[in-house]
Formats: sequence, structure tokens, C-alpha cells
Amino acid sequence: MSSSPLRFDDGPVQFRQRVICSILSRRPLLVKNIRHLDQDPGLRDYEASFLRLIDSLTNGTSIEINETGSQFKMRPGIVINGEVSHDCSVSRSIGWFLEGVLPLASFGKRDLKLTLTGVTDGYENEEVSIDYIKASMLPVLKEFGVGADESEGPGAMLRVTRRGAAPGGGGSVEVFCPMVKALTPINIVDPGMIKKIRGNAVSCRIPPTSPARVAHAAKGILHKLIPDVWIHTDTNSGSKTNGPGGCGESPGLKCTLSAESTTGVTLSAEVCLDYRLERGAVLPEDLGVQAATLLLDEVRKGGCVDSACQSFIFLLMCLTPEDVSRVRVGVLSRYSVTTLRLLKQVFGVEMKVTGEGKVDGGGDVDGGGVARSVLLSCLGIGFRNVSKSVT
Amino acid sequence: MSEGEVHKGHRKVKAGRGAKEAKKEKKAKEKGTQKARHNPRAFGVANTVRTKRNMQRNLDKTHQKEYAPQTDRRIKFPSKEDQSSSSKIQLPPPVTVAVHGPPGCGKSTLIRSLTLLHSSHTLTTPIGPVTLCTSKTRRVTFLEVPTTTAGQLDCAKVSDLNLLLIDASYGFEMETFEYLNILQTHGLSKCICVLTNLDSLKTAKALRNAKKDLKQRFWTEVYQGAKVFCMNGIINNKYLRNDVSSLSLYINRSKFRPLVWRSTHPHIVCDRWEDITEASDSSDENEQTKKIAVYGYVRGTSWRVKDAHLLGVGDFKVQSIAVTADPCPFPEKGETIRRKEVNVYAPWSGVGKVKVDRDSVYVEVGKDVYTSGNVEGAGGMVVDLQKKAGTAEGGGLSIFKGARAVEGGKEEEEDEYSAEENDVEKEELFSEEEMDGDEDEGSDSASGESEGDSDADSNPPFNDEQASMAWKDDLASRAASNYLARQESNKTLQTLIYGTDTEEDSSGSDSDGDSDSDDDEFFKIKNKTAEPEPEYDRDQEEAKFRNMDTSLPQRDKASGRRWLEEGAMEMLRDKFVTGNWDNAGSDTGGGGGGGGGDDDSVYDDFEDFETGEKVTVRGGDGEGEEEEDMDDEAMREKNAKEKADFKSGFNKSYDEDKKGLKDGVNAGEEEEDEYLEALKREKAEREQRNANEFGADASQFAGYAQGCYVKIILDGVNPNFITSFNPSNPLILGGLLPSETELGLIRARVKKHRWHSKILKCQDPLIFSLGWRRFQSIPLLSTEDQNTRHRYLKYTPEHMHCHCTFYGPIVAPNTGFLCVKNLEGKLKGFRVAATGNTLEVDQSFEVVKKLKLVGNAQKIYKNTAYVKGLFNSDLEASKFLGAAVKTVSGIRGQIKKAHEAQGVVRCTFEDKILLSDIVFIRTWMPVAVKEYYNPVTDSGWKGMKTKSQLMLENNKPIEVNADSIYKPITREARKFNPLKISKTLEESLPFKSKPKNSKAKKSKSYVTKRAVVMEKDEKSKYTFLQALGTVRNDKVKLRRSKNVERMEKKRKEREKDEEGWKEKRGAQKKQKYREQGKLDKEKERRSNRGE
Repeated sequence: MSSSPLRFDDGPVQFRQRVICSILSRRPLLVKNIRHLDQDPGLRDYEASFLRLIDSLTNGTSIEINETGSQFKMRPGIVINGEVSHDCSVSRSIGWFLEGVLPLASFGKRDLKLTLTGVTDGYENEEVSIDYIKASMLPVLKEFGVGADESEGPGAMLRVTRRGAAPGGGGSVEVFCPMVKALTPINIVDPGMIKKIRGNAVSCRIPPTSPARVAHAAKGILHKLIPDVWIHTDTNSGSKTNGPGGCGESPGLKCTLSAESTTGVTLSAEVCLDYRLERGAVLPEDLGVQAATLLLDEVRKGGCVDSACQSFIFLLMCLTPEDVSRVRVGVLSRYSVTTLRLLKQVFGVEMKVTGEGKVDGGGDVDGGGVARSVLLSCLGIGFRNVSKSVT
Repeated sequence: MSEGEVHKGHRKVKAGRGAKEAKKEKKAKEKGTQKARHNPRAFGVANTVRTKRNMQRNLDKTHQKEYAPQTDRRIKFPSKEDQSSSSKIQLPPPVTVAVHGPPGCGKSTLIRSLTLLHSSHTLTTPIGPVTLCTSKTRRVTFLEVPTTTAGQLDCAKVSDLNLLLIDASYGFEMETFEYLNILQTHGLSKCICVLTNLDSLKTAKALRNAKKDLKQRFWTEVYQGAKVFCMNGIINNKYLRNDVSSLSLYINRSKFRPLVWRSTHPHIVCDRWEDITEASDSSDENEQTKKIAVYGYVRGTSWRVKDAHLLGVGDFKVQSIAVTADPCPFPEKGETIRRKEVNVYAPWSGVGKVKVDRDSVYVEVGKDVYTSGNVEGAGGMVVDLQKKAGTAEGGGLSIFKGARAVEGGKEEEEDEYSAEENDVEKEELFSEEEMDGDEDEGSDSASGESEGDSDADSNPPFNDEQASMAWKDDLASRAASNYLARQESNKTLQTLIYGTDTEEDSSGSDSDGDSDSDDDEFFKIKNKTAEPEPEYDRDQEEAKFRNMDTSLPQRDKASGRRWLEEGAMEMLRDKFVTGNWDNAGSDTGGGGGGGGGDDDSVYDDFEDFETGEKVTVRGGDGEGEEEEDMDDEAMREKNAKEKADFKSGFNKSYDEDKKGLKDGVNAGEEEEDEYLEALKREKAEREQRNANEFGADASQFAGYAQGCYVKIILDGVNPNFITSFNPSNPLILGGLLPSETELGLIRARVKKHRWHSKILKCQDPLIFSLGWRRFQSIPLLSTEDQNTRHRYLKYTPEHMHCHCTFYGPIVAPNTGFLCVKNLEGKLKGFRVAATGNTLEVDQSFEVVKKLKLVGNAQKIYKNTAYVKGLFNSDLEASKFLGAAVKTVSGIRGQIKKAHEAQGVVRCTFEDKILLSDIVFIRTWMPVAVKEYYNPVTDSGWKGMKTKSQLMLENNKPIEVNADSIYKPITREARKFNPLKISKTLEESLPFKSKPKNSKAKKSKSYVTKRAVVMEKDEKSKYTFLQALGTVRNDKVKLRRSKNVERMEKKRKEREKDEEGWKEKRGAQKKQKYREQGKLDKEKERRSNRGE
């Protein structure tokens, strides 16, 4: 007797989601053809690091990787969580790792107290960062009832204890997430109106004027729409490398902006200085402008969640009790669509997808104007935190 | 109350203090000398203590009434408004009523009587589930609970209501108590006691007493005031109509508490099943696994799961599931239910001319000799089929359409079979041919064929191409057409994501890329080996998507610059609080409160981004136009919505008003109320959303709803099941949630049942009934010490809970279970060995056993000693550095270092130890859980035996460990050498410390040696005293001898008495044993009769 395994033969597509789904559904996972035609085949170091992180969060997980690393098998164990510290690979940011394990965070035997070390900033152009997770994903977790009842203890928290920019890393983040028995269904369909914008311009080993210039440029744009804009500047100097408030070895500059609406919806956008570029190739002002326009893009899409947050929400929606959850998103990203398919394959949950909203006068969506939003709803599978013990 | 009735009125007090006071007051009033009262404002609360108590009492009472709203996911019979409002209503499944009782107490009779009460069918022997309509709003499935333990377990897991039949002439039997206990562990569904065989009690007094005693006993077992019905007599093998109808009324009206397991797990009580294995040329038919189809109502919750457990058979993947025609539908709307027209569906009991056997179906033609044309109903159909000779050979014949045409075909199930030539009066029909349920209720099926026709070339969602300025003319018709287009495009979006083939294979790989042959490359997943897409941009994105696993979409560099253009940002103005609030509100669908439907107002407003002009359709005369355009349906919807809005607004304001009125003392209570109110409101909203979200496509998104009659195909069934199936054992298919198919370790809290005669031994195999399953596993008993250590236990404690860890299928914590030692064979006494709750699931648990390592001192220096024998190697020893050691005499110490020699360690002690001292370390040894899991099947199952069973069977003596035998302890007296003090030392010692034990004198002393000569006077005194002594001695001697004599006499008397009593007692004992023997014999006879 065992549940049928999940088999994939298209390589590392949705690597993290597949691993997580396998653990949550307790179905064995087999992934084949991982970059098998590449010059450098197999799992990358960050993927292996992610598997190690999963291993330390669970009990009884067995992972087998073949010689070339182009195939791996996983038999999921029970999620334990508790106090775990993990050294993330520096080729991806901590955000990438955290985004991956966040769906597991509240389904352990104990509360999650995770310490991750590695790159905190500098990969924002490719993936979500910890600041983004803090601004966008943790509030969503609260919507699902994780730490919603404050009388029972603190909710999900994320604290950056040390910054470390790419590619050197050396940053450290502490994450806390309480466990729950079951999630609560959500109904987030009203994006509301943006009432305030908050942001954070972070610099590591860069003169403190730079983040100020970033913030100034961003505000220059956003003030045209709303007066309540506050961008915090966070400068981390290299002089205190080893002391508190110090940072990693590499220089870096980034900016995260989040807009909060009257209905509590938070939309975020972030940019960073690409460490591969030459010095002076991008001005801090450009960065600020870029961040602001990205945020405006998010707002235009008319969803209640960010485009990068979609798949996270979809997964949690599947894991609610047998009630209807609804969410409105702006534009379904390709990643989200693949997630939807994965969820159907793993949990058998098909979401009702309704495209709605105004058709803009200008034709193409990208041409400007207000995009159609997509309303997704599904019935949860009645997932319960099996590993939580009763006393 | 009738008009003329006169009640006794209030009588005034005429005597006593109250009367006096009243009189006085009256007088004073008349005279006008009434005294002014105290200042009433000063004495608002006359009695503070009483007032306080009253307040507390009221608060307590209100608090007791409060309860957190329970989630109940069962569907209810729709009310009249619901029936009229929506087109398709899901009706609830029949209520499962289990009829339980010891053999020979009238279970079949009761089912027979209840069936006849509601319908015109007389079941000679009710076998298997019997489903019938008992009222306009309720259907009932009667299950006769078999007397086997397995059958009882299965029925208790699905029953909503239990009728516990008790033979009043005999009293309670063990089966009833066992069944009650099984019910308790599996969620305690409702129980009713039915007393039968009351007519065998001859006198009225005996009857009264029996009723009273049985009722009291039942009440102590269930709860005070539990319902008890009496079947007072039996006529024609049926109970009296009055008795049965009162019971039936109760069954019809009772409500049931939602049970956790059942509301989270869908299940089916199989009405019937068919073997649909395709004939293959496999040499041995019996070896081949079978494919079966089971039929039944979906109960519990909607069926969405892919795995299922057939109780007593095993786990299966659901091959396919389809809705079929309801064999026992409710009567048509508005019709009163007539007894003759009530449908009874009991395929195993041979109701309605159709009899289902193991592998064939018999249809009764009804006449011995018939000619074509004169047979009606089902028989006619068979005759018709027979006329078409040869059609039923091999491939079978679908008669689905033909069956519709047959007049007066009452039995729906007949439609599903095809016939074979046969000329005896019972026609054997082969069941190979399958009716496809999808055909007649296509919309219910999950296949989602309807999506298939949604056009692939309709507008894709992300690039709606509209003529740029054409919107200005013909708005209304455009809106309508847009609406249609949207509907179309919604479908497309769904199809784009999930593909047309929604019945995707769950285990299949993600290779459905080519099946989505739609126009948008964007959504296509391609294999790496496939050709790269031509577009340059896409190429990069593709690589990123494939390799990077990032949720952040590819950034469009151009879009950033776009916002910097003049006026571009103004388009977003209304998305911010600084913009137009009305506009923004309508833009986003008007909030989340709505019950799921798309809000029409969303589409009303248009904004021309080029001109910056806003056009509102609603404004001005647009309003009227819009209203005219709406058809009745839309109008009604709109009105309903307005009404609902108004109501919710009113409720809210009313609540607030109330809150404003109350203040001060009730603030806390108010808060509590608010909290509960909020919970209730939230629940109501959630239920509303659940009900309305999916509408007609519910089966696609929410699975097969409760009450659907489905056919589920299971593959890989053991052929043993086919051959040994017994229809009187209920066949139940339980759905399994995704994680429940995996095995793991479970820790549970367990208690030996106090009625079970023996305590349970650790690591003896036990049969567990947990969740749907029953399986054999090996429990490891332990108890939790105060420091959370789980200490191994050899046996279950007598009257306490203990922990038990076993290997089995994973279930959610807090699920009840019970253990039995054996399912087969006759067992004496109470069969439920233990009951418990699961606590925790994990892949490893630590249970430890106490282990004492023992060693001896090898060499002793002051407080240090080298100890050998504790360990076998220095590697072992090095693991215990720093561990605490102890000698038996209580000298504590610590291990310091592993010595070079084999396992010798250097220890230090708080005092010098002796060479004879035993040194030991107390450690804990982990005990592994044996990973043994053996699901119990109904046929041909063999379980693991306990060691004692094996020894008993093989006639082996009990193993004795020679070391464990107690031997007499011989303690030799220790010899101590005398203390020697050298002379020189003795001399130097002070007097105090010098040894003073001088030797005894050998020669007599002077005092003893000298002679005493008495004086005369002295001598006479001495002689007198001697004489007195002699007299006394003589007296005592005499008294003693007398005493002995008397006691002897007494003893003899007693012995004589005893003999008399012995005879009497013997007679009594003999009488008692004789009666006991009679009872035993009677019981044995009864049980033999029952089987």
C-alpha cells in the first residue's frame, strides 16, 4: 500500500513547488532529465542546498540523487520544523529558499524558527527577496489564519539580522512561523484603493547617499499619485563587518516598495543593482524610477496579490478546509499557470478561473490602461496538519 | 385552554406577618397617615450579595448556552424556496440505519416490518442494504449488522442511527455492549434501544420490571433519557403496526450530530457490485485480479479523492467514477407519498422481481407459461429481448434506450442489464454490458465535455483586440455581446490552463503539453528536446522558466518607460485614494462580500484613456435603459441582491444600536457575544460561498456531491473477494485523503478495556480498527515519565492509560481506535481489548527501556578506582565519559577516562569503595517499533499469532530463563577478626581509650563463697514465705489444667457445629452450580441457533 508517486521528466521546472507538493501530499517524487543535455548536467548547488534544507525540516525524508545528478527520487517524511539553521547556497538569494519552504512553515510538529544565512540582496531582478516576502507573503499567511489570533502567540515574523549582498553573501535572516491545525479559507477579491506606499532602500558597502538618491527618485514619481510615501533607507557599512549591523563582503543596492490599499491588500515591487554590471552603469536614480514604475505596473494589473505571490497563494488555497477560497489576481504568470496544473495533478484540485474586469480601450494589455483581472476560486482539499500532536 | 375553564386564582395571605403588614398599610392608606418611604435612590440595590449572585448566575447560564458553531458539511433537504430558486438541487443521501442485536433477537423482523410499513414489499429475508423512501424528505438505508466483530466494526463506521435490539426475555448480551463501545470509539452516532420478545414475558409485572430494568441499564450505558422502544408482539412474522410506526416516526424526525471522521471522508455503502473483469486468456482464472464496479450513494462529503479503501478487502485506486440513475428517487414534487408507490431498493433481498446473485442478475418474468405480448413490465422487456435472438451473445446488448420505452418499468436497475436466451422462468442476464452513467446525466459528470466545445479561436484572455474607438456607438448591444464574449473567454481561460481533457491521469507525468493544442504558445510546456521557439524574447524566458524556478515573471523593460510618458500615470489615478472613489469601487467588482456570482456592475463603466474622458453607463437615462434590458431572471436577481444588502445593512446598524444601549457592567459579556456573533456570521458567509461558488459545474471543481448515486470502478481486486463474498456482510467503500495511503508510525493513548479479562502484553500482535481500516500490528507500550521520556512497559497498566506506538496507515491526530485480539473464532467475554486515541504521527519515535550496566572494581586507590565489566571496549567506554556511576552501598562517582584495557574505566568516587562493591551505571536503551502491518481481509486472512498461542498450539512448555529463577539467598555471617592493639600503643593511650574488656574471673569471689547462717526469727520468716510460694504455685497449676480441659470441650462443640453447617452449605452450592449450568447451556443453545 502506498500512494502513487509523482513522476516528472522535464527537469528542474518548478523544482521547489514539486518538492513541497510531494511532502504535503506525502506522495513520493521522481524527477528525471534534470539538465541532462547540458554541458554541466544535474542539479545545481542551490537545488541540492534546498533539498538539504528540506531534509533538515523533516523527519524520515529519504532523497536519492543519481550519479550525474540528472535524476532524483524523494520519499517524503513528516514535517517537523522547530529550530533549524541552514547555510544557503550563495548562487541564489535566501528569498528563493524561503519562498520555497514557506508553505511548509505552518504545517510542522513545532513552530518554525529558521535561521538562514547567505545572500539577502542582489538577486531581486530574478527572484523574490526576503524583503518582498516580508512585505507581501507574510500578510497573506495571516489571511490564511497563520498567527491570526494574537492571543495564541505571535504571528509569522521575519527579521534580517545581517545584510549580505550578492555574490559574496554573508547575510543572515531569522524566520518565525507558528504552526496551525488547519488553514482558514480566504476571500480576497477586492483590491481596494492604494492608501499608502512604504519602501526600503538598502545599501551594503556603498556610500549612504546612494539609497537616499534611490528613495528620492522613487518618491519623485509616486508623489504624483499619492502623498503618503515613506521610503526608509538602510545603509550597512563594511566597517562593522563582524559586529552587529555589519554586512557581507559584497557591495549592493536595492529598493523594495510596497503599496497598501484600503482593504489591506499589499502589492510590492523591488529592484536591485546588478552586481555583474560595471560600476556606474546604472545610476541610483534609475533604480528608484525603475522600482516605482514596477510598482505602478503591479497596481495596474488590478489583482489583490502580486504576480510573484500567486503560486504561493494557490497552493495554500488548495490546502484549506473543504471550503471555497477566492482570490483575484492581475495577470496569471506562466509560473502560476504551471502551479495550477501541478496542483491539479497532485491534489486533484481544479480551480475555477474567471477572467473579468474591464476591457481596455487601447487594445493590447501591455499598451497601457487597466488590465483584466482573473478571479480564481477553489474548494480546499480539507488538509489538516497531520504532524501536529495532541496532548 | 377552553373559554369556560376557571382556574384557581391567587389567594391572599390572611395570617402571619405579611398579612399584618398589609392590613396595617391598607389602614394607613385609608387614613392618609402613610409614612414616606426611604429615599429610593439611596437603596437601588437592596441586597448586594443576592444581586451579585443573581448576576453571576445569569451570566453563567448565558455562557452555558453559548457554543462555537460546528461545521456541518452534510447537505440538507432543500427547503421549498431553494427548490424553486435553483434549477438543480442535490438531495441528501439516505440515512444509514444499522439494526444491531445478538442472534435471534428479531433484526430481520424489524427491517421487514419497517419496510412493509412504508411500502408494499414484504422482504422474506432482508439481506444487504435496504433503501426506501420513508417520507417526502427522507430516505433510509437499513443495514442488518452481522454478529461478527468485523461486521460490527464496519457498520459502526457508517451508521447514522443505530437500532439496538434487545431480547427482553433474556436481557442484555455482550454483543450490545461491544457494539456500543465500538460506536463510541468511531464517533458515537445516535442510538435507540428496541426491546423485542416482550410477548414471552407472561405476567404484567414481569413485563414492567423487564422494561424498567433494561431501560435503566441502557440509560447508564448511553445517557439518561435515551430513547427506548418496545415491540410488544409479533403477528405474521412482523411486529405490531403501532409499535413499528412510532419507531419509524422517530427515525424520520431524528437529527444527527456531524461526526468528524465522516464529514471529512466520503464513503459509499455499496448497494451492489459487479465483476466487470474482461475475459482474458489467462490460464488460471482464479489467479487473475478482478475489476469490479460498486454502486451506492455518496455519503459523508463529496467524493473528490482518488484512493479508496474497500473495508475488509483492501486499498484501491479509483479507476473511474460516474453518476448513474438514482434507483430510489424521491417522489415527484408536491405529491403525497403513497405506500404502493414507494421505491424499495434492496438488490440482494430480491425485491421487485430483480434478484442479484454473485455474477448474474435474475429477472422474474412472473408467469409460468407466457406468450409474447402478454407479459408486462420488466418481464415484458425480457421477452422483447429474447425475441431478438443472438444479440446478447458475446459483446452484450445495451438496452438503455429500449428500457426507457418500456411501459411502466418501475425498476430502474433493470435497465442496466442485457439478456441472454434462457427458457426457464427466471432469466439469467449477463452483467458484462455496462451502462454508461454519463449518458443520461452528462452535466453531472466530471468529464467536462461541455468545455470541449468552447471555441479555441475565441478571444484569448490576454490580448483582447477591440477596435480602438468603436465603443462610442451602440453601447448596449456591445455590452451584451461583450458579455457573451467574456463568458466564452472565461471558458477558454479554464481550458487554456487545464486543457480540454480534464480527466487527467493523476499518476501520469506532466506530458500533457501536446494535448493542449490551443493557439497560445505561452501556456505550453515543452520538453527540453523539443525545438526551441522562434521568438528571441521567449527563448530567454523559456530558459529561465526551465532552469531557474523563479516565481518572478520576466520583466518587461519597455513597460517601465511607459509610465514616464506624459499623462500615463493619470490612468492609475482611480486606483489610489486620491482618485475618484466611486469609479474605483465599481472598477473592482464592488467588494468581496458577494455570494460568488460575477458582479455585473464591473463592466458598466468605461474610460477612454486617450481622451481622459469617463463614461458611465449608469448615469442619467442609462439607468432606465439598463433596467429594460434585463430579463425577469436578472431583475429578480437584482432585487434579491438589493434586499440582501438592505438586510445586512439593517442587521449591522441594529447590532450597533444594541451595543450602544448596553454599557458598563455588560461590557465583557457584550464582547463575548460579539465574538460568537462574528463566528456565526463568518460561518454563514462561508456556507453561502460554498453553496454558490461553482453552480452547475460543481462536479468539476467540488467532486461528486453527497447524495449522488455513483458507480465506482476498482481494479486489482483479489479473486477471493468474488468467491467468498457474503451479501449479509455490508460492503463499504471509504474514501482516503491523500496522506492516508502512506504508512508511518503512530503514537496513541490507549487503555485496556476494563471489561476485558486480561491485560495486554507489549509487542503481542493486536488487530486495530482505525479510520476505515482494520489491520494487525504490533504495539509497543510505553508511559511518559515526567521528563517526557517514554519508558517501555511490559504490560498495559490495569486501570490507567498508557502510550502505544505502532506501525500503520497515517491518520490525523485525535482519531479514535480500538483493538481486538482476534476477529474470528468464539471468544469468551468482552472482545474489545483496548480503546484509544491517536496522538501523533512521525517516522521515528523513541521508546526507551531501563538498562543497568554492572561492573566490579579492579584496582582501588583512595577515591579512585578502575572498574571493569561495565563495557566491552574502550570505544564503548569513551561514549560514557562523565556518566554517573554508583555502588550498591550508595557511594556516587563519575567515569573519568577509558583505560587502555578492554572496557576498563577510571572512575572517581565520593568515598573509597571496597573491592567487593558492585559498581553500576543506569542508562536507557531505545526499543525499536516493529514495522508490521497486516490489513485484515474478510476472506482467507491469516494473522500473526502471539507467542503464547503458538506455544499452546504446539504443546510447548513455558520457556524459563534460568537466570530469572529466584533462588534462596544465602547470607553467610561475616566473621570479623578481633581488634588487636599492640601493647606499646595500649600503653600510650589515655585511660578513656584503653580497652577495658577484662577477662571473666575464674575463681569465685569472697561474697559468693562465704556461708550464711540465719537467726531463728529470720529463718521462720523465710520458711513462711516459701510456704506461701508453694501454695500459689499449686493454684496456678490447677487453673492451667482446668483451662486446658475447658478449651478441649469447647473445640469439640465447635467441630460438631461445623459439621452441621457443612452439609447445609454443600446443598446450597450444588443448587447454585446447577442453575449456572442450566443458564450456560441455554446460552450455548441460543448462540448455536443464531449461527
